[in-house]
Amino acid sequence: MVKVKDSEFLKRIKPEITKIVRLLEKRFDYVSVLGTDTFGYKYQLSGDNSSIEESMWTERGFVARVLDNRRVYEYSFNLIDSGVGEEIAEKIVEAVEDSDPNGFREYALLPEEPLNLSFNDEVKIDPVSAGAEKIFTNLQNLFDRTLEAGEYIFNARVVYEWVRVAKIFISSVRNLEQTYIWSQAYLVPMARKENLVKIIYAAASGVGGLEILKSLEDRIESTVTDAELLLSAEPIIPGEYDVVLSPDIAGLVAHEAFGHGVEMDMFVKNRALGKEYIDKKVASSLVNMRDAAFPVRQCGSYRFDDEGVISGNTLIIENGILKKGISDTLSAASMGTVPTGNGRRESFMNKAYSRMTNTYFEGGNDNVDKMIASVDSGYLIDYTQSGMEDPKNWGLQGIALIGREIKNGKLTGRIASPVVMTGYVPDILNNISMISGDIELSGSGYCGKGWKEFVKVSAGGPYIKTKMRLG
Amino acid sequence: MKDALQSILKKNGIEEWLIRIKKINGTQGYYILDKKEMLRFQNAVQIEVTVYRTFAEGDDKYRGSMTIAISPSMNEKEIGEKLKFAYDSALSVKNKWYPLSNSASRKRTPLQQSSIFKDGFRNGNGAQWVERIAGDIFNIEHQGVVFNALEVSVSENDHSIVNSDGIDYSWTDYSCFTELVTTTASGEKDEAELFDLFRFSDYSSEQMGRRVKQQVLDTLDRTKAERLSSTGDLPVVLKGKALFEFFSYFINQANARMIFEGMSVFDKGKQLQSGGDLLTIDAVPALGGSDKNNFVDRDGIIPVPVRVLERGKMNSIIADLQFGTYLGEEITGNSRNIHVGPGSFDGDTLKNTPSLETLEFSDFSMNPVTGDFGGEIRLAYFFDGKNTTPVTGGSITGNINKVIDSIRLSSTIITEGAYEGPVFISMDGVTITG
Repeated sequence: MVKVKDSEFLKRIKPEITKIVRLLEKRFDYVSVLGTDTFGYKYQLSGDNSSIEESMWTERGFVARVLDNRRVYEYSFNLIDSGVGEEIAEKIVEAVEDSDPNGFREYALLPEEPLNLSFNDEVKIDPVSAGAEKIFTNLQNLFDRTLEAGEYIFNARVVYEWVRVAKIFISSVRNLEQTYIWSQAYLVPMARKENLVKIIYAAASGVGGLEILKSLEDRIESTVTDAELLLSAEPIIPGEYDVVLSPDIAGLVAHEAFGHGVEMDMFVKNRALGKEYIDKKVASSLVNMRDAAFPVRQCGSYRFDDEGVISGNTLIIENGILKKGISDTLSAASMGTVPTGNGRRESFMNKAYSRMTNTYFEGGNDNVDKMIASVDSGYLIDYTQSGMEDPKNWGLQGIALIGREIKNGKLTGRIASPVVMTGYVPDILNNISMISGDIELSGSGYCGKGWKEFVKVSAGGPYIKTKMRLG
Repeated sequence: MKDALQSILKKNGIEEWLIRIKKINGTQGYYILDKKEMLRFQNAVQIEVTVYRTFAEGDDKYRGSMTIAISPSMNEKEIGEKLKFAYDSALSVKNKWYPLSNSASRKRTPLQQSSIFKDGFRNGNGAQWVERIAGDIFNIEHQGVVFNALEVSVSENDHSIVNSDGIDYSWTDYSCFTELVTTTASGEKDEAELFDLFRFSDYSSEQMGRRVKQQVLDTLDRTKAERLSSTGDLPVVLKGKALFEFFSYFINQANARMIFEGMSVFDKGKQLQSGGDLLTIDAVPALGGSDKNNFVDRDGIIPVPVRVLERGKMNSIIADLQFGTYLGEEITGNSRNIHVGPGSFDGDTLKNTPSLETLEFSDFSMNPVTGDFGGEIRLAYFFDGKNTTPVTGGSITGNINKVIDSIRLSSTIITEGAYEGPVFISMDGVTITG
């Protein structure tokens, strides 16, 4: 294992940032600065075309938060060098003083406990030093094997992206540093029969480096088979079905159906029904659901959040009872609770909201074969396409690429696509009747708050049997 | 910064390059009910550099490239190291050769944004605009509905793009959004919520007023809505935000990269439709108030409108520099707004035809490759020929290739954000799941 290197830039600029905090402390009730130096690259190969570009998650900048008479302001900036701390502090004071102080909600943040933390993660195969040639050799190998694996595969896209995250958080009493690397990769076979084109994907992700490509190699054949099966897929006959959800789709349900509904800024805005259901039954007693930035190691992991709160490990649903939400500092202050370490920003340019990290159903005592055997007529649903939350009205929308037909306890080999899953969330969760043992998390996508504010998360779980409306 | 970067590129022996710079001055207000939760200020510069290489193997000429981000806080040494890494890595990207600019594009004149925001958002002006827009929204009559949360963001962006082939453009645009969450007042049958994210580059209080009033009415109707049950086969009417996503299928299918990679079945001159209102669709670089206006695209090409479909026939390809060159097409640049021509359907016909009229989805999605579309319904109106009932829940699914011959377009058009086209469309063959 190789230790992930610190950001030289953040080390160099930290005294200047500390100076800004000290200067602003004289004027404001609370001051903190989050600094980021995150970068990475995305390598892509598709037939006769390839590219390398900076990751969309690259950012280097700072956000200062100040409390002025219980009013909250933030200032995002990235023009900084040694010796300009005073000028930046003046700009922040000026921006606050030039704006209308009326019409604010007032906040009393919990006093921060003093804390120093320095965290450098380790990585197995360091992508920073791997170089483009080695990465493309790996991708070309995946590409060639994918094209050889199927009769109808005419092209494929293979993608590998790594990101080195480095952050510092400085306030009057906190001095935090963290550095880690996450990676994600996709294999997208494209199948064509006459004028019909279908695509599907396999994805791998996690805290770590180039080693994640290995798990994609193991999935070439099954992914190509599914891409070719899509060429003969039929639309689903609408109705309510017994369904077995793959870990990927279980994650979609955990994330969209319930995760967003326990983000506590939604409680503050009266936007989530979950607020009314704390300590009440919301799911089958088989269900336990958790959000954990640590010790889970996936793309939503970190050691402290973007407000300088140590990462949480929150048991949201325990034996079917809703226990607790996840919060940023402002929503916790409003609700009179302790922040859970879920204050996250898309980048230093953005506001922090209550956000999920790694959200998943815990494992149970059944297995997928028993689940399939127990279904007379239904589907095993796999491959997430998209999902959207509706926490106020507890609606679920999820779209899956594949529904594998089950008749009389057996997979028939026929598939339906696409599959739109809808339903009333408590019905879906209360109908969970079987849960398998092992869980899998996937963090190859990202999560928005509504249609913006994207952050890396992962979601997953075991195989789950429930009932859903499919269309 | 532009000059400093060019100097570092030269020092490092890099001869082919493109620099994109965006300077952002933004202000954002976040409200819970009518009180500000937070006021935010943004002052930042984003820089991207693409480094190119030309190399040959035998008689074949190749183009290598890599795009990197440069932070304004990087010193010369850091920038030099990152550029060198990009220059070395670009050799691993082995694409068919393409030029760095296009002579036809150079003869075009970049459009200029005309906007009410012409004085920008500096020196406290941004906070005043946030207050003004929020005030306009809060003053709209909304009896029975609570404005639960509001976000207002205004941003002035100074852009420049320069490359080693002599391209050098600068322009300013504005990117703004409001996100309004409306909830029916407590005490209604069930509290219902709708939210609307509206992105814009120009502001009209009248347009904002119309949009918010509609949201208020829709929220009240969602409260009264019944769960969607079985409707049988009915024409489905699409309205509102889903229309942009629906028509984006044709824009994606006409994209040169999609065609080059084999993911599109676009076939110039082929008649797609044999019935319904024949579609005429353009990709256009600028629409009044759109946040997707593209005065110069990422390659430094000044985009021109492209007629993608003409009366139901596949017409022209949206050709960016790289993939347009590969396909031997005229380089049009990338435009991101959609214009759809009107049709024959009027509102009275709609009122008299049994249908499911969909207004709000959780997230209407269109697969750009397969044409599969669908979404969960947040608000729709079910008209059975006699009565109209607001409904919620359930979903619609369909495939564009199976419904295309039944599409009817409204005769009236609307301009909203990045979409200009029929106010509504109707189609048969869509599966409704109650």
